[in-house]
Amino acid sequence: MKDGKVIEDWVDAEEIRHLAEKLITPPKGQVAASDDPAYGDGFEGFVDLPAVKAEPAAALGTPAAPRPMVEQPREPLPGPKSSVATEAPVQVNPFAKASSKESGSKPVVTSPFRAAPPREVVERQPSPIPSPAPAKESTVDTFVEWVKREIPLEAILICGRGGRMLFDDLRQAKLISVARLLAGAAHRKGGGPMKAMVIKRGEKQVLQVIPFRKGSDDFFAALLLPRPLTDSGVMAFEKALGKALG
Amino acid sequence: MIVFDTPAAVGSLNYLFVITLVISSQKGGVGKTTLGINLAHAFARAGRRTLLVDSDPQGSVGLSLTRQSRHLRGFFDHLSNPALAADKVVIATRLPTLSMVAAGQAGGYEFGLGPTGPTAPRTKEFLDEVAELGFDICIFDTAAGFFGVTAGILSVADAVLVPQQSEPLGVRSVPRMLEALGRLRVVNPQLQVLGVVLTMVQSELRESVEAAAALRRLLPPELVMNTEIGRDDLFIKASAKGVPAGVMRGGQSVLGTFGQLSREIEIKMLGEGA
Repeated sequence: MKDGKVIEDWVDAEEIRHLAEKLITPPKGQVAASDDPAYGDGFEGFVDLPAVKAEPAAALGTPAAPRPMVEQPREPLPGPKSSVATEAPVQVNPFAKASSKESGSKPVVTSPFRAAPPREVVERQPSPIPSPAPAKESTVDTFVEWVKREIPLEAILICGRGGRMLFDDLRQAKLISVARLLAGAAHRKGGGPMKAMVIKRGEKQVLQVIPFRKGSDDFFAALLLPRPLTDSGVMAFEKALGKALG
Repeated sequence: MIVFDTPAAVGSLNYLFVITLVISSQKGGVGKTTLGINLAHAFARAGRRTLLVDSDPQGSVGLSLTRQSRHLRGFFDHLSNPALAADKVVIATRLPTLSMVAAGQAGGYEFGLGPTGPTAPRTKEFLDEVAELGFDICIFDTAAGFFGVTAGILSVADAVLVPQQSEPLGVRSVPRMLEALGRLRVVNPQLQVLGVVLTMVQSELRESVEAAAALRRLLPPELVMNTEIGRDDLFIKASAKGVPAGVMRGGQSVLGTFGQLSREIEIKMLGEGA
């Protein structure tokens, strides 16, 4: 033991403890640059919201088990978020990324996606929409079951014509609102193929919004995942969803 | 009822996620390549579709597993040539779930002179292609040091595992190693530091055992893997034959150790349900 202590005397134990703690906890208030290489061009920013009640992560290569549709608690968000509530829709402007790049922001940025309190966001929800036709619902349900077998999908929202919800087990007004805003902006922008957008939501969770057009109708899906789909994954998703939508 | 399992859709959707694990250390000679080869073998034996990538310009993995590696295109060729698809550098092994990518022929990276600029975006593209090829886990064996190409890889990786030789002098490098990892996590906050894995542990040698114990006292338990890799001549014999040590006669113990380590990593990265 004496020799063991000699080994420890070679280094500063306090310094090691301090350095090691930094590696265990996520860097406080620090996130990757807006052009995070892990997310590519579709990267939209970060969001700081309470976690969904998720089951343990899926095993490598093992399809995720279907998640129960659990209503999420609508409790207030931690931290001083209320002051940004009314700004949230403006801040989720998909073009915000470009302006932040122009301003020469450095790797450390604060989240542009501060969440509004649930009540504020709920007010922004479109008025209740009649349920879709049963036949279509069934096809979309089958599609969702299939997707959940294929990827570790935690929750999904699919909206169709006029913003009508075709499927929703996200069940979080804030996420739905953000997804609607992003998809709406992509639809309004028009032009060629619409790009999927990614919002980093936590250490291992992203919200990926996939806007697309089928015929003359606008659709979008919002997926809660551990990591975003690749470009070809998005294409495969769109193709299969298009098939489900008929 | 509508059926979605068309080959095109399933082929893409089923393989969207690849876990990227980097084996890296500031010091040379700590057993990175041995760890990489045998860990990849363990994941593959557990049914994970595993890709072992040699990102050490010395080509240690390639030399250990295939004598043709000097003539194979590999990771550095992929980095330097945007037209070279990842599937062109993947080499199958006798174990269907294990494939490898040699270091390759392109030079200059040792000195940071790579023709394509930053490594990270190109590595990200490589990983996207690897995901689409259907791999579950991609393990990078790296050159010594957390800089250059290795830093680029770590900036897009999911996790890093740091082999540390269980000998007294090795402990001295720990503060610098932690500092370097801290800097990398500013660049890549998603990088999970799995921790140190003690290698070349000699249970019969007091100094080795004490060094291991000192490291466990100095570091929080979250940053030291429970599994330790003992010094074993079998690793050298396996390297000479170009196979993982676990497939050698008498390799059961090695299989058990690396099976345990791979499971420990999975639990750390994905939770108990993995």
